[in-house]
Amino acid sequence: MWEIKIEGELDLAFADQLTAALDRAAGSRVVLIDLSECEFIDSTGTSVIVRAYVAMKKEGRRLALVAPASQIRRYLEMIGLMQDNLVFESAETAMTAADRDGGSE
Amino acid sequence: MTGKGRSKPDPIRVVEPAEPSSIAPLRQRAGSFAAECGAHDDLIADVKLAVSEAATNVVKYAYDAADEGVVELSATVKDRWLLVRVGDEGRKWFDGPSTGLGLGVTIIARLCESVKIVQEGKGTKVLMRFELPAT
Repeated sequence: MWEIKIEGELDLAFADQLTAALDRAAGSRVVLIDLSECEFIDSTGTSVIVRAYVAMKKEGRRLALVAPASQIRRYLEMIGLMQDNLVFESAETAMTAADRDGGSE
Repeated sequence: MTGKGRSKPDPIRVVEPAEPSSIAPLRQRAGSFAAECGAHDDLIADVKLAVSEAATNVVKYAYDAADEGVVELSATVKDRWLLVRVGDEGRKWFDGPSTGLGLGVTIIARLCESVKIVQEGKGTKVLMRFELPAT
């Protein structure tokens, strides 16, 4: 398991940093993005996340978003990303779901 | 100021270089203006997000990499409406390579009461209208 914590604001100025962090996690089957300290995200940030999620799923890997704060959650809902298999309340629930699904995805 | 009705701050106009690092200060300025107008937290968040999306499109699509362009934010209040404009003086967004352009514009349209994208003369102007809470 690999955890990336986003603190502050994720927009075009920092999207490359997230892409690089996801690249560094290439060897991990499960990657968690901790959003508890993320104060802002826009479509540039969520595009990086969705692209990574789709690519990792094809490789039998899993990307999960953990503990988004209320405004982030509101935005994820608006764009249809508040899905059970993507967003989790805690790292524990995300890992439980990943273990349950195993490497069979 | 008469003490009646909503607070009506002076209009703002901010010009920044069209660079990724300008997007955060522009949305912060728009958010603080919305707060001065009496917007609640969700509306402030919507204004910040819409400005972020519009400014991102300017940075990505309005200028060639070698250009030193600008992105301009202006905001004012008219009656119960918060009017926010993000504009540039570059090429028309839809003339250039536009990967991802549609998503930002779609999100802006979801966030505000109405949006107009005007391409007259130089550049692109995004005119957004948000409804302020009743006083």
